[in-house]
Amino acid sequence: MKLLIGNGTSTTAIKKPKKRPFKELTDRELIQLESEIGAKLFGPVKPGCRREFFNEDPKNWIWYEEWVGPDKKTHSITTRYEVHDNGILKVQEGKPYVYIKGKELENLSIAVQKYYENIMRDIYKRDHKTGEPIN
Amino acid sequence: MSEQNQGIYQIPHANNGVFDDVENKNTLNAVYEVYNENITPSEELKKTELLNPNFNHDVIDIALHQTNSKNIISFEKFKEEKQLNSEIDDIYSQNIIEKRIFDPSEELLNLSESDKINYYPIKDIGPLILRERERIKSGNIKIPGYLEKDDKKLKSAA
Repeated sequence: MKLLIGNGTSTTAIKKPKKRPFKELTDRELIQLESEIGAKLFGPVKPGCRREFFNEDPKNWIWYEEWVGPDKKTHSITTRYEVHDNGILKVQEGKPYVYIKGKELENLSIAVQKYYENIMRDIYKRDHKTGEPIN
Repeated sequence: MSEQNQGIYQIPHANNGVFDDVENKNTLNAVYEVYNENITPSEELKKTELLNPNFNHDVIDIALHQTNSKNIISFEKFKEEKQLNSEIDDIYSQNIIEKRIFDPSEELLNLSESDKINYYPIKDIGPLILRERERIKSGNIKIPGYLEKDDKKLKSAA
């Protein structure tokens, strides 16, 4: 996950590879492209802040936020949403793990569905409902 | 198991293959899945039985359209034959993710009904994304337009 999120010092999260064709992209590069779209789902990011939101693998969704606090120091928080058979477990460092419910679960669900819809359209060029190629 | 939690297991019985209650979304979900995922009812039945031996076989009966045939017929043909009204079209046109069969294992979830509805898209979409990534990496399929568009932008900028 560290590789995907970076160390917080980079100014640009996504660098589209110059190599062609696109099919040579690795998982990591595809995830970076997806995260570029995922980050936009939650509105604009303030200057000096950074956001990533992406599907790491079938069982994990990652939300990363980075900002500069009043103390002029860079802060960050990584939230991992783990898909379990009995619910979605929210994992944050230093906090109790909890299964999310109610509005938080609804918001995540909407975000995940929009993420899927957008990456299918903008990256994979497929209809998110049917999986068929978009002409 | 409360009546509310029984989901598709409490669908109204279909008389002669016609829905008694076309607004019963769970029933439609089940039929939609059987047809739209293009899997044979027998496979669906097997899968469902593995998950819950108490599964209501009415769902499969509906999906089979009481044709006594094991062949899949298209949903369009199904609608045509049964003259289902536009309410089904409305539901059919909604997001596929909303149309999943409720997994019987949901009874294990300590979630409200609305939470369960929000849970399943999250559970389902991860594997779909993995499939897309694998499709690209397989090397057989190109993504048209994406980087080519970037190239055009770069050239025009230059």
